[in-house]
Amino acid sequence: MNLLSALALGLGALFWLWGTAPLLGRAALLVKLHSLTVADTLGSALILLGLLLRGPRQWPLLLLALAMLLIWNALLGYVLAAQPPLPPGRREP
Amino acid sequence: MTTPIPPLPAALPVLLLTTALRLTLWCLLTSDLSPLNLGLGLAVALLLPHRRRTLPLGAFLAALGQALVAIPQAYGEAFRLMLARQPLNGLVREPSQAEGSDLVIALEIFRLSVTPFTLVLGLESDGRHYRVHRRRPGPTQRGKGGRQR
Repeated sequence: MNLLSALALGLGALFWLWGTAPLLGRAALLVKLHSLTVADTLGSALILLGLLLRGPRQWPLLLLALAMLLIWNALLGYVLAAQPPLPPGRREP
Repeated sequence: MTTPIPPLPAALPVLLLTTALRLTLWCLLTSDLSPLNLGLGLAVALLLPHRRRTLPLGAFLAALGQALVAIPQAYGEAFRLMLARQPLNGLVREPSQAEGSDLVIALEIFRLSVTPFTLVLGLESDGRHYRVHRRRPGPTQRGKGGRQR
């Protein structure tokens, strides 16, 4: 169980690094948001899962954190990505 | 746009659902299942403001199922995006099954936002489609179990 937990924590950290590194680059906002989904939502969820596997003592708070993470990340990602519709004839840059 | 307030029986499913959700969050937050705490949680869940609204139950359950299935799918997409050499970007339209229900819209936006391939940019003016920005592995990755939608 500890091995599984370490695996989840390590993979989560990897997701974090891969997804957060593009923030420093010059990529478009939406491209950065795609990789942030990987880092923030999926990576953080893996890390929380790894912590959950360590024992049931902190389960209520960790489960609450997991639920809030998934909901708020997805919806705040939407808030960041939401744009007015493109005028007709204009293509995505 | 104003929607008429539905009568109480029609709004009951949403009332029960939100109360149950609030009570669950209360129990997780306090991590205490004693009767006194449950009663307090129930009181708080009922006293917090409720909005009367109806729920298209079939669409809601379908969206809930798809949103839950999307979480493991998101990990598969994350790996494929991480391995992709030259991902393709583009705008697509995704149909919405929401029938005007904001709960179903929230679930559908969750499903599209949680998967790394898709980001929701907004609802089309017709209200029946989402504008979705899609980033997915390029042609070299196709055929490796790549799901084309």
